Amino acid sequence: MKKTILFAIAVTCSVAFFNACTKSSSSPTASTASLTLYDSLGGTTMVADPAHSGSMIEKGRLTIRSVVDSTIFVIAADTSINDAFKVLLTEVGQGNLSGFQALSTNLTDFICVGTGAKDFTYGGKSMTDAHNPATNPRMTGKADNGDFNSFEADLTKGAAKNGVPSTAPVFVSLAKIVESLRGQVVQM
Amino acid sequence: MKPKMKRYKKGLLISSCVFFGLALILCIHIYIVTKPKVDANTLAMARIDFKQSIDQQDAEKITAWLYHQNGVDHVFCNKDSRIAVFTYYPFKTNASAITDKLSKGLNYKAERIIPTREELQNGCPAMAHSYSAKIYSLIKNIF
Repeated sequence: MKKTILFAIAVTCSVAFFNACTKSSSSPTASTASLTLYDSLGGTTMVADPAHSGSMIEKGRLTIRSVVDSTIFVIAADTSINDAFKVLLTEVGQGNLSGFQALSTNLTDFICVGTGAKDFTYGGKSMTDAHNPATNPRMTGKADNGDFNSFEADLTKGAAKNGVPSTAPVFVSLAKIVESLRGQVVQM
Repeated sequence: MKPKMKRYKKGLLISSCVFFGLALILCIHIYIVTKPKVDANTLAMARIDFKQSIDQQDAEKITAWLYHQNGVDHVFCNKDSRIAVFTYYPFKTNASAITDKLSKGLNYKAERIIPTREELQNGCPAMAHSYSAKIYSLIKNIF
């Protein structure tokens, strides 16, 4: 019995030691070699949050949130797709979040995760389920290529309003990620 | 035997009272933390549709006017769609009052668009959450 316990402790210690060695030897290589798009947007550097005085926010998230918020404004005033975004005009929805705040948070989370952020999670449905009327009752019909093109055009305008032109490498990378979702969003 | 039974019943009664009392407190707590409320940090969006054509000069005038209103955060006016959208703090101001003031002050035929309950149930797939996320959000709200 004693031998079994000692053996278990020895194995546990060996595994822990091996893991520790693996982490310490691989981390520096990973941090220098594989910079994510989130890193190039400012990454985890903490900066003051202009929307909440006294609060700090990761620079990468702040950049993404600024573009998302600008895009939401463009969408809300764009008659080609704003019918699908009436929820933006609710004053208070879940908790003390308005429709605008909830959508801003959800989209920001989604893009943060998609660009490689490690400190956030996206709690929404998958892109396929979210845009499928069979799995998402909010969708009264399927989105077509025209809807998706309008969304991309509004995203471009939103970025431009934040001083990020469509030719900027960061925006090109972001646009590629968004475009890669077309097959999941357009299900016709 | 009888006193023992009496003590058992008394214990059961006290335990039940404590249990239901705590359950009631938990229900009240859940109601309070999940009840939608407007506070100083709540930011909402409003949309004004113009029932007349507007040009770039009008759009700039409307934007500037809205920015001057107390409690208005950010403004965007699209002359092509004849729509102005703005975010504001409901704690400080009222979007319907701003719309009325704009109509009268700048002499535009303007109308605030408020979606119906049915419209709010549809569209915007990004608002759909998975069940696990809903449970996580509820727990986060409670604690």
